[in-house]
Amino acid sequence: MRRAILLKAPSRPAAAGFANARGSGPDLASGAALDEVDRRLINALQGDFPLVAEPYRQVAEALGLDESELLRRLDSLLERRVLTRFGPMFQIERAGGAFVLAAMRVPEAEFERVAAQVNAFSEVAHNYRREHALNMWFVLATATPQGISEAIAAIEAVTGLPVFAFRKEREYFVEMKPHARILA
Amino acid sequence: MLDSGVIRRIGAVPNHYAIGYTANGMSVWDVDDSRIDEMGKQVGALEFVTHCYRRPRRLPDWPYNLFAMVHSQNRREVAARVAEIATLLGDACRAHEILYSTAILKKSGLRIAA
Repeated sequence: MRRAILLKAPSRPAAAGFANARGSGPDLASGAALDEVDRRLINALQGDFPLVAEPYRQVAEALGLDESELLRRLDSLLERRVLTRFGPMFQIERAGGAFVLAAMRVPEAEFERVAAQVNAFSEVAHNYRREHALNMWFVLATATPQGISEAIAAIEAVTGLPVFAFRKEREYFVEMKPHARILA
Repeated sequence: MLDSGVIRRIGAVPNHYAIGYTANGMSVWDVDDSRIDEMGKQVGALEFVTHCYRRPRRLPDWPYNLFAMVHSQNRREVAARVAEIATLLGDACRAHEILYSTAILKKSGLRIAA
């Protein structure tokens, strides 16, 4: 679902859809120009979005903004990739799906080739390079638990390297915390 | 779906880099099995820990069973926060490491078959 469709209609129902910022460049871009209103908006939107008939209006009022101003800013934050997405956060296991953190030890000389091969799998949701002997860390997301094993086997076959799967045994989950607050 | 927990929440996902949290350290810990749940809850409750999970060790390569993600403005701050975790864990922890990220290779939303 495209962001533009979501955001061009003010006062739309809360549950109608979600937005995804386009692109997933390898950059560690930073330093987006954010004013004080942007910062308050980002902080407010990390809490629970209200499930009411006109959620954007409610959020705008809480921030002392005009609804159209809020939508314009939200669109801009997504466009600039300050927000990577806006919408529902799924607990994929509750929907029957599976989520697994995995890692590989990739020889430096082969890193680009392997990154391209791994990223080509639609089951790979995130992939980070990290400083460690295990230097590639990615998250697999599949519709079924069996899909994880299949994806791992396929990645091992394509890359010729073993994949270490780190299944979640327990989550020490805490509700929204002040860490989400962006820098003042 | 919110009531059933399929949707955890509705909201925004910030790009940590764009909002100034340019250092991302995955801290990993080898914690005594008999104390990990008690300690994991305390680590997960720290305000600067964004994700905290218990995961299986992969011996002999990987002795760590607790993962705690720490985001901050720079590595020095990440290291200071990881030191706080080390203090909290005390003798329940045998070893730890920080794996800093140096590039986002891919970041997309979930794709599940319709």
